[in-house]
Amino acid sequence: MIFVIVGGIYIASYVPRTVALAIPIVVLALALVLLVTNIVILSRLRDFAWTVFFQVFRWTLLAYAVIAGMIGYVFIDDGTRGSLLVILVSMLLIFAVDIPVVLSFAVARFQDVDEPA
Amino acid sequence: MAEATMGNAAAPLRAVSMPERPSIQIVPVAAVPVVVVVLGALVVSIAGNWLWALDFFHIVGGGLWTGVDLFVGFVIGPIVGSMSVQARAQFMAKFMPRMLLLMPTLVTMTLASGWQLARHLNLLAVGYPQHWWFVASFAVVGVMSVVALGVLEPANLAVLFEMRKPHPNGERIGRLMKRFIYTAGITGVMQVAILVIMTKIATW
Repeated sequence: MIFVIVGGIYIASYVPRTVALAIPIVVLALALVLLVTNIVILSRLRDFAWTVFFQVFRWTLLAYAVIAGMIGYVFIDDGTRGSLLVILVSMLLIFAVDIPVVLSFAVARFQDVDEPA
Repeated sequence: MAEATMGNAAAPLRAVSMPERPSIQIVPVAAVPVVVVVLGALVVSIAGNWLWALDFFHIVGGGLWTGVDLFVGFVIGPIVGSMSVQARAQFMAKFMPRMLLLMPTLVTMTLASGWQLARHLNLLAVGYPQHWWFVASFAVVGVMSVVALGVLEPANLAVLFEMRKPHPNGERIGRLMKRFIYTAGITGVMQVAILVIMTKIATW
């Protein structure tokens, strides 16, 4: 999340001038690596309240998909195109998945562990 | 003041499993249509580049966001910290679900309309050193986003879920509420910085 926000601030600080994409690409890659690492580590948890996790995840994903969608719409409406649009949309996708993961984990870690099937 | 607040917030809430536990609705569903209407109107005003509406959304959203943050951080927080355990739990059970819906809506309203307004008025094209004020505003919003999304909102949700349990863990609720009060104070300070930046930009 921090990398995505830093990348977003960096790009926004250049608008409407041309943005050098090297730093945003590095930041995006780091954010993606961290998100995937988080998900892998999370998926290895056995004694965990997965029911609550997915209950929270579903709804927060919906909410943050709407927010990310609105931000993406503003970028497109403003005429952002090409590589910059791809980077921004990728950042928004990471944002829309990462926040629900953080929120769901924060809730589920304190809940009773699911009974084994 | 902060010390007293934190000290009280950290006090164990052993009695949260009190006889009159508040019923908790995590998301106030009745208010969802209002949010949908507000966000819909925001999209329409962005699509139409409707200057008055963009200004309205930015000023109303930003004013409420700043006001609520400052009020919660510096008025509500210390009061809640000094309340009895039962009163604190009952207040939070009603307060937090509303915040869960209100704050993301205000933030989306303010940021989306503010960005579009700056683009529409060509404000982002100003050269340095004036442009630093915009960069500073992005940075402050970035810090607030990290604090709100990474600490405040998870703590808020976790408290609500904990309170819904048949036997809530009072010590855990106290710990999470302490985090909530701390972060509300931090975002309050950030909001003062935003006020300085925005009034500076508005008076160029």
